Amino acid sequence: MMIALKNISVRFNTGTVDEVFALKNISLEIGGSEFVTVIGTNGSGKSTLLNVVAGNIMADEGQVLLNGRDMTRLPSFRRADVLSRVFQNPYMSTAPDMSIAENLLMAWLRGKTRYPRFSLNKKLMALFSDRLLELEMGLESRMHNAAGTLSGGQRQAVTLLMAVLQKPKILLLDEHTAALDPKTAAQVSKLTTRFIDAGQLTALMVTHSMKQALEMGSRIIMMHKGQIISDIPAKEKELLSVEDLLGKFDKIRKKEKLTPEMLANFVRQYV
Amino acid sequence: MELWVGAMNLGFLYAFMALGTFITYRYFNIADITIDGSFTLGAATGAILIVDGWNPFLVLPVSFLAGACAGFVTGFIHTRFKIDSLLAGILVMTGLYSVNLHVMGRSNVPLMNHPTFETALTRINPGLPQEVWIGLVLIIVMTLMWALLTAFLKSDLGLTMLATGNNPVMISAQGVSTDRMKILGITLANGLVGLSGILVAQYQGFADIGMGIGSIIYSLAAVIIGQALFRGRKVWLSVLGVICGAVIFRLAVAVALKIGFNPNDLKILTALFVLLTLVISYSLKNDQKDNGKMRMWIRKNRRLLFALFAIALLGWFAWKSFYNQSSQDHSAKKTRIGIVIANQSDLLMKTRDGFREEMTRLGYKEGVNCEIHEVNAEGDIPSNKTIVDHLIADHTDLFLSISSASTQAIINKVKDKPVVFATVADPFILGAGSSPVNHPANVTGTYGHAPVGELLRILSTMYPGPRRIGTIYNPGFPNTKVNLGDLKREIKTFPRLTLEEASVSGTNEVLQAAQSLASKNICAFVLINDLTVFNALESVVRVSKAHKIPIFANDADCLDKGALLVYGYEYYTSGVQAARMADRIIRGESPANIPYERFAHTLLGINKDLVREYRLNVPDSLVKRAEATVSGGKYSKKAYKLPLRTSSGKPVQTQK
Repeated sequence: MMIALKNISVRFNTGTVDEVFALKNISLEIGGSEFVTVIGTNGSGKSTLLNVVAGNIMADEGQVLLNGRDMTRLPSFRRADVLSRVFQNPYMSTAPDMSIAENLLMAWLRGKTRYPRFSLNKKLMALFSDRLLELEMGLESRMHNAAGTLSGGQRQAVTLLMAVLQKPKILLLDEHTAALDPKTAAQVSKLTTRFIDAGQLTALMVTHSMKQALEMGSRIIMMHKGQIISDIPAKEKELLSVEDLLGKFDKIRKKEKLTPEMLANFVRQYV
Repeated sequence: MELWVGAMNLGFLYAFMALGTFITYRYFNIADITIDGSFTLGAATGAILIVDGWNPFLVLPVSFLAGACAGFVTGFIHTRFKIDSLLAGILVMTGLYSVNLHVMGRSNVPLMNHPTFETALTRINPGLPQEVWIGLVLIIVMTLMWALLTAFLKSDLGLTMLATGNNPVMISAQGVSTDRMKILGITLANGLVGLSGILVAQYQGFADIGMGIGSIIYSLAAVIIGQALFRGRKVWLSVLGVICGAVIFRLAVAVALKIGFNPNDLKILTALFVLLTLVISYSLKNDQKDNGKMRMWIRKNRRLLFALFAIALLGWFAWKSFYNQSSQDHSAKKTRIGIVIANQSDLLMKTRDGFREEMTRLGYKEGVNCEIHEVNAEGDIPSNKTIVDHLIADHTDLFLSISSASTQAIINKVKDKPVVFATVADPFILGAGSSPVNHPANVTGTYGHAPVGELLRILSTMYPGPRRIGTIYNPGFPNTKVNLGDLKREIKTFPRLTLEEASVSGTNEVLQAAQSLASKNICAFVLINDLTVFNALESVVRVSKAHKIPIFANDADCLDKGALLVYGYEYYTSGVQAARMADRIIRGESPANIPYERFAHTLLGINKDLVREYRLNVPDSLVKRAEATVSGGKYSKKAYKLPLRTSSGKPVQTQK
């Protein structure tokens, strides 16, 4: 298994009256080269799940195994040799005062010791230029510009490239197209699929769009109140439509006595 | 010329420190106050090793390492225990004060008679003026430093450090421990600061416990000036900017001194300048959510604000220089006397008054046959050196230094003009010769430390039987070390007396120290000459009155402030003696033939009111000997005469 979560629980505000379970006894196994999308309502725990895998949030109980190694207690930077990550906020993934080339260098050095030497030579610049060409955004001619001068879409594309530059085993995508306009979002989504396919990567993508969840990836996980309520394998997924997914949430509505207004709100938010 | 080149050189040496601050401030947005301590640590470590016989160049990496260790501790505390960086810096800086005192073993280590980088360079001087030659060498060194640091910051490691400050989330996602990067950055920065410390110490000729105070604001000013000079994100320009900023800052100090500006005012100007720049750079940030009216106003009017600041400054300068011009008249036959004073303390001011009044009595009139130019360093140690450079540039004929710190700065620098010092406890530990007659050819002066043995003898006759006495001192002053050594040596001859000590690091600790001594059942406070305790004498008096424990002091000026008995010299007479020496030099005698003089006049004073109040037994002979008394709340002093000496040192006649 590439990712194996065993009985993971995460509590917030432990020891106070506001104590809540962000994740409640979750177990999940994801095999090599699998592309899993995670959907769920606000507060369902999908982002927490991603953060537990990334090491930004430590599980209160349970075990996290990545690529067969127990990494439950390792901080995020020590998991970087196995996984890389793209954030929702385009500002979070690049250093704005550094050039595109320097940002790429930071990613290229992932998993290597950073000595006071100069790796950014002509050969590496040529490599970066080739890779930037793949983004089809004309960034190869702007390699010396500060990353802070890029648009949100361009930044996310560069970030995506940074995430796969040193091929990771696992790619984590945290609603990475949510902050973009529809046209750019589509472009970034296309790049995502291409990179994942080309690298045969194991990917875990959190999304707020059921449409995107259906279009991308091979397996869907639905979360609600800190638990996985549905795990839809590839075969079944191909037959599903947005309406079917909504139907699943409708069932929860009945169970939880969700008002129709809240459901309407869901549809507005997620479709 | 010398003034400007000297200021530039000092700027270059301080640039190492500014570059350290550049790393912490620009890369991690930390104003690292550790440097106030690590600057001194670097200087202390290096100075001690040089005195020990080390090569002055070999100590540079050691000082770098010493500073780096201090930085590591700050970085570790900050990242590991999540303590705010400013607080972590304050903690380490505070602790370093004690460490530095331990490293030096005293508060001041003179390097006067030891090889420094300056003496090494002098040996290979191709014939240029000293300062210019050093300046040239430093320009080459700084160019190398510039290239080296730029290269480091452009390397994989340097860029990773930049990314750590720029976007910690991103860089930790790339497998970098932001904590380790921060520790590395702060360590490196403090290493540079330590290096700067030993370089400055070698250049000014001594390391001193107080030399690092205010470093953070100076180096922030240098970084900010550099930022203003070269905008943008080009590393090589930023580094150059910081070096220039450090030099510009030191030149500004020289300008201020040149036009007779009070260096004390320079501190508030620096603070205002840094504040103004910070406020404006804050207002210029785009990604701030709050766009308050004030921010927008500052943003719109930033140029106006800078212009107003500059105009106010220029106006002040212009007014000052006009004022100075009108009071100065450059004609040929006047002797130009330059006075350097370390700080505004009462004792030094009394020495100054003694000198000036005696000069008047000896027939010197300002503006008629002499020009007296007095500059006060206001407690800022590096300023002493710049003041000396300034006085040299001002064609000073004779230097008077009041206090050990000023004397040290002058004798290191001035070799061809006569120097007279006053109110120095021990000129020999400053490196000025080995005996009163065997001393540098251009230097003479008055020295001495109060006769603590005699004070103890008087005390033991008044208090028979085994007794405890208590003393308070600040180990941060060089003179105190001498006086304390005397006290400890002398007390051995009085086996019935045992000494209780309390050391303080500032005036606000004196009260508690006095209270702690009072609780140890002492029969008297014995106060050696110590500026800190003198400035906080009221605290000791308060405890003395509350517990009916009398004060015996070596400082004659304590009598009318609440001491029971004083035996020592008056600082005023130190100035008088210095004036007479200056007179002999102006009349043509060579300072080489004028032996150092111990203070000629010691004064015994008794507070009769307190004797009655405490019902003490004071021998009549002692009361008769007393030249100064307090009785019925009134202070009175018998007139006395100072013997005037010839070059042979023999008293010949009493004057007036």
